[in-house]
Amino acid sequence: LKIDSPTKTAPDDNALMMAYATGQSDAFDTLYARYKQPLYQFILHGCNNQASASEVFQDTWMSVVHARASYQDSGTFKAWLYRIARNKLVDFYRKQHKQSNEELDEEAVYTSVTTINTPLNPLELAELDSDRERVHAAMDTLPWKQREAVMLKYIAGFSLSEIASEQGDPQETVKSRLRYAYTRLRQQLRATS
Amino acid sequence: MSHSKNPNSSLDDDDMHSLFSSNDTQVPAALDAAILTAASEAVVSPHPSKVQSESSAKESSWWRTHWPQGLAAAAVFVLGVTIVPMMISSPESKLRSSDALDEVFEIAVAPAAAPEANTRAISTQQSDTGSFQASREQTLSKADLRAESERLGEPLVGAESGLAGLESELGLESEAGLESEHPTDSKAASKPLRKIAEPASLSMNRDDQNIAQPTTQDGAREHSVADAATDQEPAYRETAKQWVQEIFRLNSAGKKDEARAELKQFLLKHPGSEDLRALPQELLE
Repeated sequence: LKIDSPTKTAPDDNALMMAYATGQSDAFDTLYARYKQPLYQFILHGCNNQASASEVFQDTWMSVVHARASYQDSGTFKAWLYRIARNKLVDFYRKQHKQSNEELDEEAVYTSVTTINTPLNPLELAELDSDRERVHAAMDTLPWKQREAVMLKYIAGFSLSEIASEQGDPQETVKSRLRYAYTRLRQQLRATS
Repeated sequence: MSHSKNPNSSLDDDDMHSLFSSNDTQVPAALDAAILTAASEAVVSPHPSKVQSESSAKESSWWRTHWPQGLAAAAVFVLGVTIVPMMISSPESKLRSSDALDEVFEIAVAPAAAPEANTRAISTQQSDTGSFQASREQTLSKADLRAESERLGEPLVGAESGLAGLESELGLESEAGLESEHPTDSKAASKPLRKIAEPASLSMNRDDQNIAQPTTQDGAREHSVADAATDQEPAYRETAKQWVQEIFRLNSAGKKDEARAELKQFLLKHPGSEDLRALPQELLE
């Protein structure tokens, strides 16, 4: 996945966000054009439902709009944007559990993602006729931490250190998490071949 | 599969990138438009709740800085509408002018056992400034009063009559029991009078201040009253010589009691007068 990263001549993300905070709506348009596609993919792989993904996607950008005045030029805009998106996903899963009369803390939400999006059995996987659906089905079998690490690395383009920072774990832990994710995805995709 | 490698064979980083890029689902155009419109509207016009919160923040900041003044003003107002009317309506209030007048001219009748039956207390005055000394209370015996009268060259009868006239003018005569228009009145003479002076500020709003402050204008008024009182005196009392002649005539006419009474009054007015030599020795004894 190729991310529309800023070129050398284009203003960087922080400058654009600060410009938008001062009232320049054009800056937001530029930022949105840069991050809308990877962010949408990230969210879509997170909730595995296009309608829900659109809702979470819109909520994420509205949070950016409302939080423009409090934005600080201390970190990277990309990390800030995906942190918002991850929090929205957590809210989404928490809402799903509330509808099923279950109260879960944040950690429980992370670990129960796979139970919400119930993995397909090999017979169901075999019926899938598209790569997208196969990949989504394989992702649903991953625990949330592994799934999030895969999404951050291969959709959002985060480095190992950035993923470790976002997940609050050492880089070696993130490496192991990604290795387990590869193995699980391989098994799932092989089963559907 | 759109990517070149078979995902079933092996999954390395390139395979994973290819796998997820093949699932590149586009953002709905309607969603794009909605987000961009909302973002541009947010910076063009601030949210109404934000405007409201800013105005309320202004008001709250004003109150934060000016609350002591507001509190003080409110306290003054509350005291003004509650305490002051209570003070004025209080029976002990010094602010009521009628009460102040009563206290200024409170004349109390002393017990009959008082040895100085004709003692009178009057408040001294400072005629130069026009204000009387409220705190001073001077008690003068009738002899002292007589001596003062002599010093001023005014007849004692006239002075007492003038004072009585003023008091009667104010309507205090019945209240105070003053019947001292005639100095020979035993009732008035036997009852000591007590005059409690009050601070000038309390009695300045009444006409009675004319008594407390005998200014030049009021002096003329006093003299006219004194003259009116003097007019009621017998004509022979105007001079010591005529008065002595009248006493001599009464004595010669056999009215010895009246002669002695006149002599007594004469001595009060003209003690040590040379004219007394014309009177018989037996009358003087």
